[in-house]
Amino acid sequence: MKSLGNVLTEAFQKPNSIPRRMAKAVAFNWVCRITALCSVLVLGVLLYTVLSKGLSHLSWSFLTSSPHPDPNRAGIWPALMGTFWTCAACGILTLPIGIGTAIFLEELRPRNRLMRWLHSLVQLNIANLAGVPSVVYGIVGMAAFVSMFGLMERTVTEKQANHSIFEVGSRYFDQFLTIDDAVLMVPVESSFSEDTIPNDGIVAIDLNGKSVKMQVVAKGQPIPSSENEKAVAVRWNETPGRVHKQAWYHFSVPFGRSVLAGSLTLMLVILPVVIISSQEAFRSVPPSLREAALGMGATPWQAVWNVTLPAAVPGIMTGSILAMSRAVGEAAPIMMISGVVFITRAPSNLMSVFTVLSLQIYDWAGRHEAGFHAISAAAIIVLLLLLLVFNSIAIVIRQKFSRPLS
Amino acid sequence: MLQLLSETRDSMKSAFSAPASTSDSSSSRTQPRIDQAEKSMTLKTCPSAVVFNAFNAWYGDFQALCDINLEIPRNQVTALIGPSGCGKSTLLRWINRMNDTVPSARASGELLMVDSEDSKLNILERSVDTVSLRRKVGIVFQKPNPFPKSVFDNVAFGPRLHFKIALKHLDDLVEWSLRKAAVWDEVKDRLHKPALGLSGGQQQRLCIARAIAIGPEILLMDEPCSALDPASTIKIEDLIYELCKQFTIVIVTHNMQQASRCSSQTGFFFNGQLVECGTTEQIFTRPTNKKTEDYVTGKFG
Repeated sequence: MKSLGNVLTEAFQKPNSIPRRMAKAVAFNWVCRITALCSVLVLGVLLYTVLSKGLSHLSWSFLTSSPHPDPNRAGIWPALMGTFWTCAACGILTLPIGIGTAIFLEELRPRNRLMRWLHSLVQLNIANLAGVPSVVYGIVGMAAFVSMFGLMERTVTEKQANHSIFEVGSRYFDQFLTIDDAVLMVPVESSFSEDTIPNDGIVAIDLNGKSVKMQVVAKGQPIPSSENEKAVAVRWNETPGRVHKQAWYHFSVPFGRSVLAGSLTLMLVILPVVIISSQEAFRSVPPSLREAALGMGATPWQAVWNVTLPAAVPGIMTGSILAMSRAVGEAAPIMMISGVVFITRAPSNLMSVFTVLSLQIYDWAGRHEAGFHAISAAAIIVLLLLLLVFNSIAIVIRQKFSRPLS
Repeated sequence: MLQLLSETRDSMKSAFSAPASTSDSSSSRTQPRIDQAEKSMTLKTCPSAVVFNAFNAWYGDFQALCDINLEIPRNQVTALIGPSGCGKSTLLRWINRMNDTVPSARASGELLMVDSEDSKLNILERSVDTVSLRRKVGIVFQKPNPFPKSVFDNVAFGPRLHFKIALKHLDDLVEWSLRKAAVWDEVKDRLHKPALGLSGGQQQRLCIARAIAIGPEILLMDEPCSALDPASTIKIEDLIYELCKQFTIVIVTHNMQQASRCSSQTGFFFNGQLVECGTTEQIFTRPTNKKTEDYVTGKFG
């Protein structure tokens, strides 16, 4: 057996060549640079095509007008507003649930065996849910929120277009056409009531919002000649059309293809990400702070609210905003909820039908005319700007709050 | 709640009327801090604040403490010494049930807290309310751990948790605690600045101020000086001497000189057992056990 000294002298006689080692280092350096450049290059190509195609179409009127069959007059206002509505609602719904779950998982470790089992079950599920494709969430949202598994429906006649079993903030009217084609609206008690039958003396509301008494022209009777009388007279065989006016707080169950159903579905998509990043934020709070609070007799709630939560807020906010920027870009789950539809008005309440930017882009990019491709590129620019804003907010928050904790 | 409030008010009153001001304690540093002979006399007559009877503690299957019988005298400083991993911190953390945060920790035997009316409470019982227990038994950790808040908010944290307290009284309470912790003169001009801007020694005294602001009966200190420089250590030792007039103090330390300087009773732990416990003077001058002698004379550990 060779002694250690012999082994070393032998080894010293066969050194690795320094130039070869340096050459490897330089090559490695270059490989890294090229791989880094690859992603930048892809982004560059994307930006170039989008900007060259879409920039000329970007204008104030593009932002503020509605979709139109003519690409030159089409705009993204409803989609932009739909994006804001869904994201705002999604954020408001996601944050409490996400932070609450993270607190349960990180701060309130149960000692009881059953609860510990539940705890690890939740943890395992969240890790798995983060990898589920978003279109699957779209299907889930479709079943759970839009139709509520068909459990929450009311059998209705064809005329009553309303399927909900519960509803607030919506007023229904039966609409009649007078003889000179003005509209008279009769308020209906609820959406459940029967159609109004044309009847002499029913109180209706005319186009100016005034209450008037309806006058019915029976079969074979002469049509009134004076303008004033004609304005309130309807024919005996007039059939009402049901219309509704919605307040901003309009709410109904099941949710239907509404903003609320869309945001709940987006919530499912980003919830795992929010929970995991919030957990990470709680984990990075030094345990000494937690011990200090508990050691002074703080209840678990007081320790979380006064100490760990404030310390974790920057991390939670960064994670959540990044998750929100993912929600802004999601198209697949929203397509399951709202479908590719032609919507010309911005949502006015949580129950409105809606579309979002990514879906509008998908719609336009799939058409044949080149004009639509150009405005689709312009919409992409708007979406990219929106994402840029979200990410900058996340960076600002991280910079502003990242101070040493111990 | 009312009772708690009146308790603090009493402790505040007695504190304010206490003749010894901590600010001049630095001048008395040259004198021996504790007259050991006198202490040994009082120790025998001193009522107990905490009593361990056949106390065992485990982490999972590992037994950290075996059959501990120990009495901690009221308004005295008890030092726990021993090599690392011998279970002294575990013992300390059981007194205010901080070990509840460790899922695998459990204990058996009796751990009684005796209050001034001589009524006893077994701390280990499940039904014990840890929130009010920890109000009575404060703890100071090895590393200074002020909250990332202002100096004032750090000290006011405990009182705000436990009492509905008017801002005026809160100001008084914060000043009293900071004075008691001998850090008032250094922070009075920066009460509303972040506590993390203080030096390590100031932070540790701030943590002591924070712990005493809720008027505990017992103060546990887990190596409070191990992360500090000698000057800050001396300040904190002076402070311990001052504080024991009002609180029962249990201190875990690796520093033998510290134990001999500021405690009146010393317990030596080895491998989860209490090898020897007696007056500090006896442990350091006439230890009865060979291991204790080897440890205090620096032959091992």
